[in-house]
Amino acid sequence: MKIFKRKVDKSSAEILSNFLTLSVLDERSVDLHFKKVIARTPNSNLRAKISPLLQKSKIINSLNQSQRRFDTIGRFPYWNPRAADEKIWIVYEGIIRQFRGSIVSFISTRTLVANAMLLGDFENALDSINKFIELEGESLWSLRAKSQILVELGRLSDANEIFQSAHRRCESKILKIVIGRMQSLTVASDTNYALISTILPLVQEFEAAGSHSFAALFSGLFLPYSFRQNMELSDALYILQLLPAIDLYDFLSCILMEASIDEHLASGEYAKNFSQLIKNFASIADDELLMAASTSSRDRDFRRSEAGGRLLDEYESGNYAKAIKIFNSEKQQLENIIGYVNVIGKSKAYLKSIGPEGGGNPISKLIDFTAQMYSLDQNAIIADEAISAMSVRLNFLRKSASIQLCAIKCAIPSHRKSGLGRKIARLSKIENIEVTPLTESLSTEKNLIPYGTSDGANDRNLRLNAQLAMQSGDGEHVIEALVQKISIGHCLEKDYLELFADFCVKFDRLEELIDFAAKHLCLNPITVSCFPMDALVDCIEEKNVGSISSSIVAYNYVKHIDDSKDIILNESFEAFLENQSVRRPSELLQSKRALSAMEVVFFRDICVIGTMDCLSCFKSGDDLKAERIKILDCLIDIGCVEPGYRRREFEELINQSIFEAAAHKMDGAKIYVDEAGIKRKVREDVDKLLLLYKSISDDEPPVEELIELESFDEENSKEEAGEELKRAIVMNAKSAAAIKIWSVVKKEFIHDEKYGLEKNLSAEIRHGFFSNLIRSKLEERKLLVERDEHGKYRASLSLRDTNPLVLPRVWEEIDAAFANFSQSINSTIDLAESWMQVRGETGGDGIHLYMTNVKLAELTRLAQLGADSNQIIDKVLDLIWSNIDFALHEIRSKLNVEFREKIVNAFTQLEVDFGCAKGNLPFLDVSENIRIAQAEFLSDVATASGWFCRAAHNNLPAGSVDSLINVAIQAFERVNALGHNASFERYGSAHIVIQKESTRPFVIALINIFDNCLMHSGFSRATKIKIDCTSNETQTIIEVTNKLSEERLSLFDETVIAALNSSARNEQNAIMTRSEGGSGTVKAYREIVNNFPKSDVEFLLRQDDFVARITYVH
Amino acid sequence: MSTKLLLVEDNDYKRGRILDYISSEYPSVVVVEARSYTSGKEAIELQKFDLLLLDVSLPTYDKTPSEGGGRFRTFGGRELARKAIKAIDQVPILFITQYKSFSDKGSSYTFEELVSVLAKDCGASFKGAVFFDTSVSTWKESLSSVLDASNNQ
Repeated sequence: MKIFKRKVDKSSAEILSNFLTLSVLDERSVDLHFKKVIARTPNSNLRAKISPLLQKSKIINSLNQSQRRFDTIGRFPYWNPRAADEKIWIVYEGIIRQFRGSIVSFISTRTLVANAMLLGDFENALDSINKFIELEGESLWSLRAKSQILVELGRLSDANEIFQSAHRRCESKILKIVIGRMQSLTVASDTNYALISTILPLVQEFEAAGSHSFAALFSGLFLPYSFRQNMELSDALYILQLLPAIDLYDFLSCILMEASIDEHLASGEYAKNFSQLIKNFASIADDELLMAASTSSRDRDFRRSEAGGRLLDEYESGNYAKAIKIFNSEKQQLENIIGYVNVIGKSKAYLKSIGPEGGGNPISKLIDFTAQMYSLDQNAIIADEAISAMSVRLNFLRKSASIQLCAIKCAIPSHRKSGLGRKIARLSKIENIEVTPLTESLSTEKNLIPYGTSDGANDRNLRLNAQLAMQSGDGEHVIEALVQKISIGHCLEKDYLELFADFCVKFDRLEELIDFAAKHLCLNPITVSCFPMDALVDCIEEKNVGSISSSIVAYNYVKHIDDSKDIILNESFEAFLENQSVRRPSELLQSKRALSAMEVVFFRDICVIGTMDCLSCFKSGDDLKAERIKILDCLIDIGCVEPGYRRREFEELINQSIFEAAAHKMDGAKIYVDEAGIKRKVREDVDKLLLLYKSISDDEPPVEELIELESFDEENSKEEAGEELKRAIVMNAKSAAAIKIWSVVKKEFIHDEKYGLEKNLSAEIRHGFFSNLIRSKLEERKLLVERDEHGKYRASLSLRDTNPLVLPRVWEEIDAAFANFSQSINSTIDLAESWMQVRGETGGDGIHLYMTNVKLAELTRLAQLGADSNQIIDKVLDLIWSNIDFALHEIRSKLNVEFREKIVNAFTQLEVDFGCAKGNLPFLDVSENIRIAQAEFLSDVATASGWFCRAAHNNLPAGSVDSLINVAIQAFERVNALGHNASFERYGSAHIVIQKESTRPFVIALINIFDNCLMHSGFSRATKIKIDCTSNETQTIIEVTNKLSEERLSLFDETVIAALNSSARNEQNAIMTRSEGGSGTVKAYREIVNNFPKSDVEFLLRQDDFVARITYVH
Repeated sequence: MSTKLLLVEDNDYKRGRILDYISSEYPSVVVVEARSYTSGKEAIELQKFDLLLLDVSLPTYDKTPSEGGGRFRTFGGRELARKAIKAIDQVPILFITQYKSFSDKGSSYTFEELVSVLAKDCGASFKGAVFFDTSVSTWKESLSSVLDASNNQ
């Protein structure tokens, strides 16, 4: 075999080496021979073997790397797909050597474009890229670079045009997808959202399909390092053959740079190989970045520009204005301009001169963002996201790590645990030859003394002295004295908070830090980035700290960092109440006339339903809701929340209460979802996605495409070997946005813990409820026997107890009959339960309950017709329901036919087996039990089948005006913990029926009017509300009246009432009602006029009564 | 002195089976029943127990004709266990569930993963987590071994 291989290898290599034989070969033969050489030459000889071959134009031109127009890029076939990574690297190295000139030109252009773009000189950048394209032809990199520059210049349509041209000409399916995704990312107004909606799902889709190579390709092309830390980019090696030389080199250099900072590759043979590869590639292209990657930090000659040195000196001396001046006037001399962003951002923060948001070039923007973060400005959260978006947009410049590092430097405590800061800093050190002290410190995780520290007495040095003392191991009191010398007035608040946090951590004074952090967190939640939140929450858990401070720290941790730690928030919250010797939070509010900032956060944000329901003092959900409303009312009285804030929550609680009350009135059906709740929750996301959808060009066909992931493999096709090809469904970018809308709604529809379907299914159907129902009667009648731990059925002891005289032989047969019956029942129940499980992405036996088929065409048609987010959500809900209805029908059919038949057969078999076994023995009770159990079983199947119906309570059922007034009164009484009928008087009646579509708004309108009575009558919970109904053929009038206290009455006159009516009719107020809560009267008016044509709500003053009059036109 | 056990279980059938077994095999054991997270927690706060038998997933409140049960707490049993460990020193805890997998806040946990979380939370108090399946007697044996150990103390 070996001899044969050598012979063939020699032959192919010889054919390709010989000018005459090569000249007569056609393109396909050249390709085949070249593949053979690669496949059959040992790695040790491969470099030497292919090097002369690749110098021949006929051979090199047969590779994708030579292609310079999208018409041909990615069109040429692959070589041996089974080749090991080592072999592939050797071949790529040989190929890249042949394109040395182009690669050098690429690296130099990338540097030019990066420098120009970062400083906002987009025209120059465009000029450079155009020249490069003219010289080297097209590539994915040049497409990305040029389109991004055009977008920065505001030439969006030009950017779309070059994408469309490339897409149209490209023949490779996978590269068409790459171009489509590149377009969606480049032209999107919200880069982060485009990434989450169109790139990440695609990577996940490929991963799920088992195609790690494609997942790695898209990750490497589009995602900055922090988004794909655990992704192995080398998985893409084989398919990189598709790419032209520029893109191949760009991708390979990315793999190599990241390998150089990978701690897992720190030693061993593999690391040595990588190290050699980095050196080889660096020397081929004179690539400074790879050279930096090939040299350890210790040996590397980091440079500091002269301007950079002066800038840092001024900064360290506290001369921030001078530092900024040097930067502005000499930025061209800085070798690593991004490296100084934080220094300048911080200088601006010191000087409190934060520039205009979003103005200027990328560097100016970065400086403004970091200044916001250092200033703990409210925009800091947006700043963090904006830096992340910039790192995505400029990923092609190989500056992403440095851009990301700008944000990390502003929030060092947040990144300490993950180690991300260290890795990004190391990458940044590769990207730049000029390194600032903080980057060095982060990359080594050593607290280096900042550059240029002097022993001067300025405020900055006080802080540095304290840091120095901590590093050099000075005593606690010495350091404390140093820390105490500093106050927020002396330095940036952020620096002070971080210094104090470091001090507390060092001397294990975490409980003190919890109090300190809480005080700052409730004044400004942005400070969450200044504290070691993980350590604080661990301390709260371990020491069971129960204080208002610990509750605030835990609350911020759950809200901003990890919501799965809510159990610690609950425990800390409860421990605090115990320490205060109260059972309900409202008890703490009773005597308060004013609240501290911490108390406001505690009562307003922490004492909410989701936290308070951990307490055992509430007897029901309504009791809990009443407590929340009580707290809100107290907060309003004290003046700590606005009425609109209370109204929003009040309405939410009322909606939940109505929903829960209706859920209880279902006749057995257990499939229900609160659609109104889902809509409220997803509307904002759908708004954003719809915007994204509309921003993406229509160029790609709006249909899904099935990609055969391995169809490139010609010679060793799995298909030929009879194996199944891997496939993944890949959407174009526009479709992906539509799918995201679908999945956002679907996710909440299924998983939302207040309104979603899972909650009901888990609590009411799955997890044993079905088997318990079916088995219970059979067990009562002693017809089932148990299995032991080995799965063997036991004998029926209960039968033996009641029939002691039966022979052992007969018992054996009877036991066998019951074992057989039990086995049939158990296996049939298992089967039925498997129908009730969610069928996974990979199939399974479950009913297709959630795997709803996306009706993409219907969604896109609606979106293109200009539908708003409400209409789109309604459509998605309709589509989901129609699919679920079908699935439910399927489950019911299976239960009523297949399941029922199998169990009836088991009964029949039991009767036969038992009859034979008992012979002439009477066993009358057993026979009777079998007969009765069978009848009971049929009834139980009907019950279980009834569970799988959609409960018709999504809106309240249709009902008369009278009955709906009662529903409103009851809901209002429940959530306010008012005694039944204690506050209401009813007069008159109205029997006209309101259809179910409109019942909910009608009830909500009434409840808002009732709430308005309590809030504004001046009698609070002692308010008496009179409801008067009169009805004729054409209309029903409902008057809700309450007395006003003297004080309140003095505030009302006809002008105030006119203003109230006018306010209700004001469209602007209608918008405010949706977004901010608005007032009860406006809300009531809107619910009526929007849902009942020609109807009206009017507010009147009648002597000392306030009247809300609803005129409902039939 | 007889063993006092708290059983927190919302499913009537499952609770009935467990009670039947305990009353037939351990007639001297005093069982206090609770049907939700809140009633279980109240019991833990007010009484002392020798053993806790907890369902893993629970409604917040007892379900009644006028109460839907409040929030469904996927790890309600875990919350109770953490509370009990603080309230009662070294109380043995056995979890008994019919769930094969658990999902909460978008994350999924297998039964085995859950067992490891519970074991870590409960430390020495953790006496196991049993999958309740009435067709198999294993759950009874696990319960017996914990009850026997409790009676022998």
